[in-house]
Amino acid sequence: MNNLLKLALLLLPGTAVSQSFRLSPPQIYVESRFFADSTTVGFGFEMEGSSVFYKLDGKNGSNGFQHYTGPVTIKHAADLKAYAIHPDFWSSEMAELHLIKAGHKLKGGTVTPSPDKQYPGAGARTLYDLKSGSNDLRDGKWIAYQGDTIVFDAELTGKAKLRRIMISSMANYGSWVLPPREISVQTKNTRGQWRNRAHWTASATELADMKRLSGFWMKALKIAALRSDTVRIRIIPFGKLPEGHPGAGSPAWLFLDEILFQ
Amino acid sequence: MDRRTFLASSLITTAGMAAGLPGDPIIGHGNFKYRINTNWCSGNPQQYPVKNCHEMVIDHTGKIYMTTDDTRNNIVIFNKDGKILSAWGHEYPGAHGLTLHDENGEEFLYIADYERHQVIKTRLDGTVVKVFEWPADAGVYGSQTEFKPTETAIAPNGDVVVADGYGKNYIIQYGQDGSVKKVFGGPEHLKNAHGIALDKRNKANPQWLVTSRADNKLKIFDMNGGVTGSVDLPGAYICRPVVHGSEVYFAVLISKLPWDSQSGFVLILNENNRPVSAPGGSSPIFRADGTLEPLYQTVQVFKHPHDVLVDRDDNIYVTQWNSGSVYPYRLERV
Repeated sequence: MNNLLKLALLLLPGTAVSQSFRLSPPQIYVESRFFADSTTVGFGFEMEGSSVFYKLDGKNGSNGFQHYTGPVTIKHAADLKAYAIHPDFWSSEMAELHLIKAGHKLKGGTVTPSPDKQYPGAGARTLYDLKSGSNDLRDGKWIAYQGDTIVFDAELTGKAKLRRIMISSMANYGSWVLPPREISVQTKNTRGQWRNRAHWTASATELADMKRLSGFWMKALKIAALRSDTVRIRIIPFGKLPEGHPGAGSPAWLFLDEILFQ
Repeated sequence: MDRRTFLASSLITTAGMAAGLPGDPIIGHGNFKYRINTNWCSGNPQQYPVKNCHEMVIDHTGKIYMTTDDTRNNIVIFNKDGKILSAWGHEYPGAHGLTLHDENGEEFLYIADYERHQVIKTRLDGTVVKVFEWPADAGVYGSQTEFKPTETAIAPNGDVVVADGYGKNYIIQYGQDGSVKKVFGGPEHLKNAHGIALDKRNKANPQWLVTSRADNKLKIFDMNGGVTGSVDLPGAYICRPVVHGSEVYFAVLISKLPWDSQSGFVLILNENNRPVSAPGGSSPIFRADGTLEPLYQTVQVFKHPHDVLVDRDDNIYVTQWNSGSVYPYRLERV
């Protein structure tokens, strides 16, 4: 075992050294959290004397970390974990990112109503462009609503076999941003009628937890395998901010950056 | 993809590992490296409570003055060894910007209070000398509450120049009598115009340095209010410029959103306004086209640094916003 690996094991997150300052988690560089066929991931930590270790399987524990030496190509969904070490500081906490491989590409889509003028994104296309939003909610990769029920009609390329639909949103209670409280999925049959395929309503526990969330939020709805070329997603926002919030009584913001069909 | 997207981590030094795990944590880069002293201030929080610690200045005797929005003592006064000497002020709920200016041998403080929508000029003992009201006749404000000043600088002719960093991002130039003489900047040029400083490094051509914090830019204006330059500092939400020697120092509140991301550090630009060190942050790296790679926090020394004061020995005192009501830290130059 070389010195570098010994040091890496010694300094796994949570292990102590004599200094009291902790490194920050390393940067994860990727074009988007969503990708079609493959994507490339890089890690950054510009600090002399430091190293970064990473793994892709998302599992807990110290096994499986590799020393980062250069960009990594990802072809399947991955749960990235990475940490930084330096001899004079506590090792960093984990940087984590979930990369999602999109299944079916959309031919088109419409969203109603139109997004709020402050956060127009690229309109409906925002929801199927495979561009993930960042923590900067004004980066143009999000669309946002305050209080409206959103209906997204997706037109798939051919009659795709669907098993799962994923809705990507954001949670930041302090900033009045909360995930949806209800999502339903319908498909259109040959007679033009909409049929319910999946439904999710946040439980009381989930609603309470949303107040503590901060960061990207994802909900996957499993659906019985079916073939369809038109899918309707109805998303009901969180609604009014609860008592105790500075904006109590006002509707929470709902931000959406992608809807994925697998 | 460019270098920003793919950074190989190749800075491994086995020499450091061979030395084992001890170490004296040093942060910073190049010729600007610092030892961290979080225990610089020996004050008793029961006696001198603070909430958000906003800005610091130093007088000619070496006393350090700090604004905090705790109205039990809005101005806290330290010596250079971190002992709290005294405190005053109960009427500044939005005590934010603090500027010291020598006027004919007497030093005055200018407190920018965004809650009162005023700038208050005081003597060092807290005696109020003058209150600069909201610029009702400037033509860009409809009410007092739109004006939320965060910083003040004094022009070579003694005019009082105020950055409306939490308001409409205008820079208001007052005469000492309180009359509005000029308005410049504004939302066309500035986004969160949090701090302003008079840059006299080129004595023949003094300029205004204004932080456009939410833009991660330092904007440069001439004495007439015209834009003459802009320095891109991606990842650096810079609070106010502090000119010291040939460098400009900044507290960087955060390096990524949201605003409470606890991702701050300190940044130093050289005489050409080019980053040379980021204590607590990543090494400044430039791309082939000369642009700066986004900066980010590497060591969790600070949560939300809000201002820096640099003393004669080049030590840096750092105040923090929303960081657990801590007293300032000192970075000791090595």
